[in-house]
Amino acid sequence: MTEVGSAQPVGQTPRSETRSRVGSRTGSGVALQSELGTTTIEDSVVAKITGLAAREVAGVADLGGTAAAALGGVMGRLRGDEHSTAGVGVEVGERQAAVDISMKVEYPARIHEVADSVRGNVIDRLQTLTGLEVVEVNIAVVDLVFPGAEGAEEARPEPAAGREQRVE
Amino acid sequence: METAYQRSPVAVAVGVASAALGSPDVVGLYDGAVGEIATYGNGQSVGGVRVQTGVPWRVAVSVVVRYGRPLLEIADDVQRRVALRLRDEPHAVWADARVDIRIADIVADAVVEELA
Repeated sequence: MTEVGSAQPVGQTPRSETRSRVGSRTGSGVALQSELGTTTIEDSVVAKITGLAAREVAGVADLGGTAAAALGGVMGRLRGDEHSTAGVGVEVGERQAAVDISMKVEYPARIHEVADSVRGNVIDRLQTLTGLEVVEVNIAVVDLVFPGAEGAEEARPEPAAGREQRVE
Repeated sequence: METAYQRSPVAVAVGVASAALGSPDVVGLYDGAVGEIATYGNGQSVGGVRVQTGVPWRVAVSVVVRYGRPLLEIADDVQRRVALRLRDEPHAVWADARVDIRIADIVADAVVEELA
């Protein structure tokens, strides 16, 4: 889990392992027992928080993009914001979560700083809102968006993928 | 035999739904992709609430919440409100019923305003 650099092709999902990154899990979503009953948080909610947190960061033009189809394991499903989990993949265990984000960055933002801010904000929001310990945030910057170009540009993607960071 | 509840499950579910919706961070109830999460009764159904009569007596509520506060705080609040409401049920078994909360979806404030 300590791969460095990016040997993998650009635009591909940075998720590299098939084994679980977040420990065991029992059902769908986070489950917590209290004396009154159980509380469950759906995986799609974790994905949505991830998407919202990423979009909060200035410099993020959009989520998704070329790798979105490969990533989006959990899709939002209702209320007209069904795209809010595009570009987000989550793996949720009982206490931990690992997330994958693919996003487009506005030119000329400093890509690595935007990515770091996204990572920090996602970790912060997920831990505050869900109580999950975030063990991995993998970010793939799949495109640059130029002001006024309306996404027509096929810019060279910056391979920020593969930079994994563990937060203990 | 557990046949003694005096009100139908759907009547209990109506109270549960209104108690859950009383929580300020609950935007709505989620009744499933095809409406499968619901309690059915005479002439009406209550989406987002499942009521199980018999041992264990329990209710399960699926909620859509507002993005902002920690989800577990919201869930605790909903749980408390529902449990309090169940204590008012005429049949005493509901007072000890388990209350399961499922956070099914979360929406940002901008979306909440659109829905309103």
